[in-house]
Amino acid sequence: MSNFLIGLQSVVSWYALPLIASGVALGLIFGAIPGLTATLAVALILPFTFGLPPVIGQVTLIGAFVGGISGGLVSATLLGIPGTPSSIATTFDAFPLAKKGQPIKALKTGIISSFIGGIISGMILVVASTQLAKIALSFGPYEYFMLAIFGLTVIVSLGEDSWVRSFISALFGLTITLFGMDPVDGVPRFTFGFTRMQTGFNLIPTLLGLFVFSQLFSEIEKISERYIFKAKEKMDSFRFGLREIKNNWLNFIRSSLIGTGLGILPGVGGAIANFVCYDQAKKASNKPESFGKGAIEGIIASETGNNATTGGALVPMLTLGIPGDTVTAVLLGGLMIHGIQPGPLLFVEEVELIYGIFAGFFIANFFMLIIQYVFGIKLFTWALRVPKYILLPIIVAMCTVGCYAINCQIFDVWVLFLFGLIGYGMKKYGYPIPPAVLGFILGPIAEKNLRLALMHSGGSYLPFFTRPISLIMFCATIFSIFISLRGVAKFSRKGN
Amino acid sequence: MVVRRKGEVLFLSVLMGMAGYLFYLTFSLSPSWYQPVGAADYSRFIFVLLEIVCGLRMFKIFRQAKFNEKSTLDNKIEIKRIRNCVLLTMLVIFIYLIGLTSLGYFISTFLFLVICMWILSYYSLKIIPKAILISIILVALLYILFGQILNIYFPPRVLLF
Repeated sequence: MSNFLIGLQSVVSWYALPLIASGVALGLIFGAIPGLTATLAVALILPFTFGLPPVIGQVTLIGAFVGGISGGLVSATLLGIPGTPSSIATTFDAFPLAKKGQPIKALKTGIISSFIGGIISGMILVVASTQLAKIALSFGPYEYFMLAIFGLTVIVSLGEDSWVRSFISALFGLTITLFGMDPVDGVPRFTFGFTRMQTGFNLIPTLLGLFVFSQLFSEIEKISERYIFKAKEKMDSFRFGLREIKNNWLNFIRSSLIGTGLGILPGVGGAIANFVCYDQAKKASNKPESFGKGAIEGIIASETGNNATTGGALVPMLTLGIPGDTVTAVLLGGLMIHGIQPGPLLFVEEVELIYGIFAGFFIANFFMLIIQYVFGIKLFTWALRVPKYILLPIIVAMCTVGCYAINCQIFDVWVLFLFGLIGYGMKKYGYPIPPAVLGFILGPIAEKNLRLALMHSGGSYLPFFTRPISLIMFCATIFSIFISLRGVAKFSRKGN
Repeated sequence: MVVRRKGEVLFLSVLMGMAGYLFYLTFSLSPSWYQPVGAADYSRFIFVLLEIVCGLRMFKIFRQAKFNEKSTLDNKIEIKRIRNCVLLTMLVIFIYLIGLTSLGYFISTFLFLVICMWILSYYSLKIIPKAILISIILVALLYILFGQILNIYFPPRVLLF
């Protein structure tokens, strides 16, 4: 506790707090605009932190990270377009709820959930980061493969009305991961002689294409409606109070634990966590049929889960010096610029820095809550007053520049367009897009780790069932499929 | 509904054709040494699974009774108008992407925004001044953020920006 207070002292100053708030605000703006990501926000701030003391520089970057992940909620709720891969599952319920005339309820639920997820993961970070890092290290290819399979079970519950369509969509997602460099041998695969194809399809253009363009064309089909939401004189005045927290406490805890757990694992993160948390909340709910139609449990699960990954992602970065994704790689760079080498010794040699980062993480979450709840909602709902004919072309322009900015390649912009057409086709013929995205995210993890595991075991599948964590994952997968199929059967019976 | 089902059959046929062609291509992949499951084996597994599930869906589509959805003349005109609007927007986006490398990012974005806003407002000339103003502001903001602050180099262009 005394260490935490020392850390808190180093970040609570007239000069550090505005910097953290600016980082959060910038992250929120970048997260809210489709095409701009948390990575871009952190990268943008990075040069400005070089001249700052390491702890203040780092917490400013963490502020942008927290804001970037939370900001995805805004476009997911108001446009049905995930601002970041972490908020895909938020679109399932937040957008329908907003469409029902309750955008404020959807936004407030998402904001509070993001805050609670961030705070719980922060507590876990402070209390058990070194122990959790050891667990993360015990994950080998067997466990990662089983984790990917467990993640893929979500597709069954994503396609209740037609699981075959959902399965086709997921297999399509797995297929598009096969283009580019083979993850084990490094040999080009299905590149058709194009050098640009060697890196395969980038996540952001593919995701934006499938989600944004398909949504865009669907909105154009309804262009006679001037606004995305019917213009209302007065917005709903929902208050997210203690009653909502009390009714959903289990959902908050479960999603926070899942989010933090998945955030710790390098290469997994928020993009998968929001799906898994949503799926688990649906399975645990008394009213699973309300999911996808504006259930606040769905918004809580997705937003709590994705924000909980932010605390989790800092565990391997600080304790082992392993960045789990591109954002933490930039954060790591921010530390190394100051000559600080993250690792177990950091907890002994740089107590003030480590606990300053922990305290800054909490402060960033508080700023995220205040900025979004007090100022953001008014600003975000202003976007609802913008007519579609202005809003939709701006979204296309933002997505285009965002995709180009990732690798500075025009190829990514064409990928955006290609997957936009595919996504529109899928949507038109009733093929759900989320399973395709899930397949695309989990495909490389599944392939790489299956092949590495089998190389390690000499072709034997036995270790998948004998290693403890892998076996637990396998049992969880079977259980998850069982629960999902029971839900599908119930749904079919009701349909009949 | 028949049109919609035809579209789905076409969609599935393209998917199955793609999976079949990629399956064929797996035989030309370099062999993976000392690997029980190589790059080609894993890919083949995915393609076979995709073919089976698409086949199942096709079977289900053909087994279902067909029925026509009668549409009124007004409905047909509205559907045609919407379809034209979607197709035109797709075409404009396509031209915009070509324009990125020939005209330059900022000029093509400006033109795209104005034209697209005009199309989506059902060709209303009244909105043109507003569209021009919004486009100039947005392009200026993008130029400051990406061109000046982030120093992102946009594709080679023939015009000034």
